[in-house]
Amino acid sequence: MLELRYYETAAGRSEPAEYISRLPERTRAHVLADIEAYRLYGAKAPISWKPISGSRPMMEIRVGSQRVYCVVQVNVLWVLQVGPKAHQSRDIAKATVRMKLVRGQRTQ
Amino acid sequence: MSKKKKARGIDGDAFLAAQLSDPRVRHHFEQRRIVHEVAVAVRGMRLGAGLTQAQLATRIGTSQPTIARLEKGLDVRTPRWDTLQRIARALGRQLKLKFAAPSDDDELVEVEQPFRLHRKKGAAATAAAASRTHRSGGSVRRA
Repeated sequence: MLELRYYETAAGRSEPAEYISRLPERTRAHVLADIEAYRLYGAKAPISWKPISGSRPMMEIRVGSQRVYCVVQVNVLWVLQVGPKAHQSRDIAKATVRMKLVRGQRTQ
Repeated sequence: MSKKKKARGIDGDAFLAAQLSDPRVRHHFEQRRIVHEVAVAVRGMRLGAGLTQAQLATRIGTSQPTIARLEKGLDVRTPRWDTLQRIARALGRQLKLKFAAPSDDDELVEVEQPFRLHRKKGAAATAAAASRTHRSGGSVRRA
């Protein structure tokens, strides 16, 4: 099972976690459950997900009209950004910058 | 001299635990978890039995897209007891209901007898797996 981390800025703010916390209960529960499913079953998870072309290995988990952008790096599933489908391009741009930081991180 | 930025992250387990302290969020979360676990279990059992989605659908009197939706976890609602019972019978199993003490670590859906997620020489592999299980002495929880 993958470790799970929500991206956090140097100032200690986690935009994806804050966004999820503001979602209505049902949507929030579905987003959390789908992230957990990917964490548990990986690519075989029974959820709607796809790699983002042009920003690989970043992927997008689709939960209704919400999109979760994440990447797996050294056994850790990083949630980089979460947002509505309407803000997809803005959110992908943010997530791509964060993915580079995550992937550039020295581990162990 | 440039300094390399390091990514930080908040712990996913702690965040999830905090969110699930709200009983309404927990309720919806568990509903969704059942959908996921049923999907994985049905797919595993079907592949273990060497059946296609269409063959399973025929056996339980439904359509192939219904099975596909169930296995992909696309349905928002948890599958009906009646549907799960028909699937269990079609795959030579019995559906049981268990009221257990609450625990976050336990799986909500349990399948007796191991199965594989990937197709592996159909029924022959299933029979061999069943035989191994029988020899090792009874039911085994899904790993």
